[in-house]
Amino acid sequence: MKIFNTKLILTFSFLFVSACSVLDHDPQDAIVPKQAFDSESSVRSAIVGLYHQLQSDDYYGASIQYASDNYTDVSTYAGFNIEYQEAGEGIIPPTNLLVEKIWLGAYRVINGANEIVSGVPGVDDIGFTEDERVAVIAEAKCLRGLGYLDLLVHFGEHWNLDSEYGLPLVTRSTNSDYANVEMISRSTVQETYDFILNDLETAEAGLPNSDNRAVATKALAQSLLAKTYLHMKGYESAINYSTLVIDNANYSLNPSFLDIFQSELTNESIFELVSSSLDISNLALWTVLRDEVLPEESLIASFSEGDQRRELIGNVEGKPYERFLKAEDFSSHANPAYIIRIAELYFYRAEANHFLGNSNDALENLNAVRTRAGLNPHADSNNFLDKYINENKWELFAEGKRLHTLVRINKAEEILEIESFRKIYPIPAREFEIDGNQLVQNPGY
Amino acid sequence: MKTTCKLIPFFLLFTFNIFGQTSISGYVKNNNQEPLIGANVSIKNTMLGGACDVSGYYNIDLPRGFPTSENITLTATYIGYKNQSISVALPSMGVLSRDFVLEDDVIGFQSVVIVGYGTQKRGDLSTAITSVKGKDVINQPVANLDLALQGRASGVSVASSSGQPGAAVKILIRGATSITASSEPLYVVDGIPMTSDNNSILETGGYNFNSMSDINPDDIESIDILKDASASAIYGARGANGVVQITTKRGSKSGKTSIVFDRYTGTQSPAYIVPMMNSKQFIEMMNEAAQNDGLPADYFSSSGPDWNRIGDPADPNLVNTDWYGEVLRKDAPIENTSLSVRGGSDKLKYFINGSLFDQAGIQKGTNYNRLSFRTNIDAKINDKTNIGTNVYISKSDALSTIGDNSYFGVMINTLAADPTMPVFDEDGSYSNPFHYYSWWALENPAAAADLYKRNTSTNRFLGSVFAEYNIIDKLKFKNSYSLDYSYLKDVMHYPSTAAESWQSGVTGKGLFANSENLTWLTENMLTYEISFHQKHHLNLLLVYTTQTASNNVASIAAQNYSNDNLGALELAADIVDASTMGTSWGIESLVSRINYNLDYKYYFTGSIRRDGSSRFGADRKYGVFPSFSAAWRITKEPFMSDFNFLSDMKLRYSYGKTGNQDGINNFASRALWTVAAAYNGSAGISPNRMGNAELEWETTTQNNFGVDASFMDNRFSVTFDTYQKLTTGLLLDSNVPGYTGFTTVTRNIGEVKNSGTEFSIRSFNIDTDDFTWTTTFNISTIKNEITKLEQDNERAVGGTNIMKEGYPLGTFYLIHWEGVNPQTGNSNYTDVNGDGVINSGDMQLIEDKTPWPDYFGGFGNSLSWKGFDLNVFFQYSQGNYIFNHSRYAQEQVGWSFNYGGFFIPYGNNTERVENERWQNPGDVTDVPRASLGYEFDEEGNAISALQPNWMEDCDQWLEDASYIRLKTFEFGYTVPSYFAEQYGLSSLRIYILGQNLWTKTAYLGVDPEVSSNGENITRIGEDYGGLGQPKTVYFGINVGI
Repeated sequence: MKIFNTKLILTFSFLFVSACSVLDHDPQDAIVPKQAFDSESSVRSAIVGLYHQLQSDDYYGASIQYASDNYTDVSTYAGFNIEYQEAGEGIIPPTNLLVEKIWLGAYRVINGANEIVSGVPGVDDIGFTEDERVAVIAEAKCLRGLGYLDLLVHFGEHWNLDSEYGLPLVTRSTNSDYANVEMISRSTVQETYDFILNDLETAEAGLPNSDNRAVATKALAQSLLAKTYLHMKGYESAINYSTLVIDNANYSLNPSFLDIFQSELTNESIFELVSSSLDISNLALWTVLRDEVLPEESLIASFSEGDQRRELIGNVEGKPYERFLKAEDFSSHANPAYIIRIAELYFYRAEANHFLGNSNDALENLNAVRTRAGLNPHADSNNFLDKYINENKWELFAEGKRLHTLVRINKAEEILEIESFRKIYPIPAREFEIDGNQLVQNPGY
Repeated sequence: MKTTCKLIPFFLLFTFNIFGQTSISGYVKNNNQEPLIGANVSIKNTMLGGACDVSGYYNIDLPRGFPTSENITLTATYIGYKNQSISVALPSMGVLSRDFVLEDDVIGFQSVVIVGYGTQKRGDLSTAITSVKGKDVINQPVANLDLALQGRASGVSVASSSGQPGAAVKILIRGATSITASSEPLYVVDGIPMTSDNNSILETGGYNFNSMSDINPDDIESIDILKDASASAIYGARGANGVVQITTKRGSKSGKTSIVFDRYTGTQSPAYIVPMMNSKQFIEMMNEAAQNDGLPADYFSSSGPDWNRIGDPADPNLVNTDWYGEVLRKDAPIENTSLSVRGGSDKLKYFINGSLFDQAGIQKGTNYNRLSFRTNIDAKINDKTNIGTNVYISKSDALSTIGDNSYFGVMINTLAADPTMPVFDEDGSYSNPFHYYSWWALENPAAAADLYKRNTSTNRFLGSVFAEYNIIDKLKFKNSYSLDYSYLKDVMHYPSTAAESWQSGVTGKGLFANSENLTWLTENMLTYEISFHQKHHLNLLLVYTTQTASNNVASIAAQNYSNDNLGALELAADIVDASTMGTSWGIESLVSRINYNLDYKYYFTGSIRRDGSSRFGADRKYGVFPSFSAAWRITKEPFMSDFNFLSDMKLRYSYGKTGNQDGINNFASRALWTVAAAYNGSAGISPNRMGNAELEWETTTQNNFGVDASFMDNRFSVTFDTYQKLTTGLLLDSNVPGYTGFTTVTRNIGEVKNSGTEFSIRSFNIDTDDFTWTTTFNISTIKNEITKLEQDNERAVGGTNIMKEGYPLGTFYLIHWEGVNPQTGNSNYTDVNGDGVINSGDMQLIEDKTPWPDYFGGFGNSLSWKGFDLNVFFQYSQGNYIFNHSRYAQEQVGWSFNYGGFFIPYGNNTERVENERWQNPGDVTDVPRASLGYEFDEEGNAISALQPNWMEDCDQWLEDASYIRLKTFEFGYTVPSYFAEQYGLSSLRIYILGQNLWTKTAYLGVDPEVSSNGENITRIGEDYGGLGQPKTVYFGINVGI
């Protein structure tokens, strides 16, 4: 019996030999949130991550540009993706996947920025100086400001400071934890602008004046401030900020229009989101690789003789139809997105001066862009807005600037022949399908 | 048996044990020399008989005056065994000894069923388990054993996602219990819970390569499918979708060695090819479209603008390419060769098998082959100790072309390819579809099948060792270690001439990836078996087991090759992607079970399992899964004694909870930042998963009531089950507000209910020495319903489907097509939101047409006469619908893209469009008129686009896919043994087998069994360029040495 007991004990002890590591597993290709803020270098990686999110197909990787251009008189859609078809037809239902992608894409950048803004003060790294922390937070806020501004001019009633239809403003970290998610409602347009201005002013103060065009700089913050004030009809401020950038020696209108798109990071660019074959953008996917986002015939027909810009719509060997060539690399897809370039600042200043009644200044700024393309300057400022929107179209086609520009100067209904409520996109239907949702849809949708 | 049981006391009452009396006695045992306790031996045409005791001994005392001059017939019967009769001459006095060795009745109640960590006899089951014997599986010409299960087991539905050989099939046991997690059952091979994931990283577009295809069907002895909760709860957090237990063959202790050589070879062809228009019909339709739109009637054949001239329909030299014919093989070879050795003694048993399987796909460019070896050994070391090992090694190669749903995919491009395009241009290169007249084809289909090359090869090692020790009588301890290791290699090469390359401006693309998977399993098991007072039988089980699995992947993608001959990465100028990925998980479990029966009349089983899993939230690490079942053999009750026609009848009830932790990401509960967020040459990190510490497994609670009965001496046996499964805490990617920076978080929300009824019957119609005829039939119903989602209770899935409370998974969500207006020939659609435009805002839930059948099943007949055998098996499904997405590409009736006044036809159309399209006012048809899709002014300029007569996401393409199919037809001849022995053989059988030879269906696509979306349960029932299962015929020879 004794033997039996020994055996039994041995057996049972064997039975419960536990492998302690069985339940302990960690991912090998991801980190947990607290690791993102354990050192200065981690924080710098998190900043890099913000740019990566900007590159997403959902955002500046194609969607924000081509949704706008398909929706307007710049491009037409010849493929079978229903979300692009709907944009092309000018009737975007709230279920449209393209506007959903833009909405999510921009908020992904905002969320990453929120994490950085909240996380940086607590980083336990002696080498991470206070000045460096201020600069990092300024960079995050600059990109957060860009995100909110893009969202506001596409989803909010940005032309009306008294409107209730601003954006839901998330300003704090959730630490990526579902337990911290709060349901919020839309802020007013004024509140949204105030928040954006605040971010951009902090950014302007904290960012260096640098000629690194691939990242946020003081000039980017100033450019975005100019654009924000333009939308708010704060024309004096818009001119002041535009002038700061135009007068900055780091930036100038590139003498050759083609060179902007054929070289990299020219003086033209204030913020150019670069890509490489290992870190691609989808900009040439839709326009060159696939014959889907194609220039509208009216756009092609509208160019004047001798306009250099017309050369960026053309044929690619082996492929039928003329295509947009601003993003031409359809093999390795290393096409940058031109988020803001100096020509736009001239446009801002032209537009602001026009509305302030300074017609000569307005014309001078417009002609600066026009003559660079090889055209003769306009002699007078008669029908200035018509000249302005044409120049704007020829200059900025396939860069996704058309829709909110037309809305800003109150020309959208006329030019695009759309109903008034369609000046902005609907808030994606998915937002209203969530338990406890506090958002309201844009009127008309 | 009932009858004879009652006879015994009767007999004893009237007989006296008087010296000199004659008696008959002996032993009744089975093939394994185990006594059959309770077996009955009776004398024909008398009421005399006796039952066996614990040693299998029976004794019949003959009454005085029993006639001794004649021969009598003794019959031994026992549940689960074939009756055996012998004729004996009675001595006038003394003891006559006669022993019986009864043979297993194949599906009999005595057959052993694998129940998870043990076995039970079928007659003693109180749970719902369906068994399929290896014989039904191994004779099927399929790479995957799961394909061979089609129609064989009630409640089990099987659909193939692709005709790609080696591709995974979708198996559902009693419906779908999950949305995001897998609804696939757990596979357990010889006790090892397997990972059946797709480990290939190649984009296949719909189908997966299922790692279960590494398992050789030849090795399989039996498959036991655990369906109800009491059966599957023993696998706890992995049991919710049912369990498929696969048992491989083992040696025998008979002392004889049998060597079997089996070889079959045959061909496969497409079961159905959708007939398309020829070039003449295509051009004529385009001209008709132009004419209908007010353009000249020879618009596409006149020598006007080049772009619009497709060709002259009257031209006898018109190119006419049959694209399906160009990409499909009508004589794709399939062959299998295997050599097995099975034998052993009391001390050592062995089974060794080597097989080579090779199957070419019916689509050119596809092939699957597998070389495998198995050795199973059991050794008895001493009276107390047994050890054993299973070793399985396989190497498989799956050749494929390009993903099914890719832009450049073979079948996708074939759908509507231009018949006027030649396969080759005059210079001998593949013609470029952009130079011809279908907008649809982006790649020459023949080029897609020829130029795009991919090979997924897998080396797999499955091994286990075990030792079993009898601590004391009936108390056994078993310890086993198992390893499942696979190394998978993906190699892809597209040359510069492939459209995927040249269209993206590169000279060739290549990819190399490998994936290493390792699963470790330890099992420590105690069993105790005891019977007391002859009536009480108790079996106890206690198991502690852990399993860990890891997966490591590395991949490199390259482009711009210096030549087209080799895909070696050294030849590529640019590396465009290089990444590594690693993940792992673990589960630690404690299992216990009790089986009790009282006199084989009342049965009770209870089990409980506690699983700890690394996959779930920090606050929910452990789950407990209890179950019980009870059964009552009603025929053992005295009051049933008058129902003589009932041989056996048992009522069963079970209840239990199971979990589903599979199919969900290993780190789904954690908040994570990705490290793949580079920009401008710097590495970056970015939040990419929202965490949920409360995440846990899905829980399925199942009730099952069943009846097993057999009638008229087991001539008919039936099984009936009805069940209800409620799955709660469904793991769903719940939408979170977009302003959080995330789209979803994985949460336990949602409930889905599956209920159904299953019935199967087996009848031995004729059973004589020369002639046997057996019929089987099974039918099942499944009702699937989502009973809870989120508050808003619905969500759209993938453009064509919706999930909504009160409706089944896979419910279609489409624009509603009202038909063709007989006056105008135009399609009418329902404008749901009344905005005057038909677009995605007009999609609606389709109530009455779901992908779930009203009922499905199979039936078959097996006949044998002397040496001949015939097996005919049909499979059927009624009332399920398929979204025939392919037809959207093939029935656009002339619709064209307008490129500045040049009209590029969308693509070719089916013969159905040729025969049935609307042509004159008053035509009643479901194919609209031909039209380019534009309104033209008098000069022939397109002014505006018309509402298309065909819409992609529309119920126009929703079809009833009910079918009945001759799944298997097998005819064989076994030569008489005296003849075989003359040649030194112990047996010789030759056979011919056909699969999918005949199908009756109204479905217009290639195959009503196809489902293009692989394992995505929310989008089942879509056919988009599906290839369908092949029609196969082969000849085989089976030689025993």
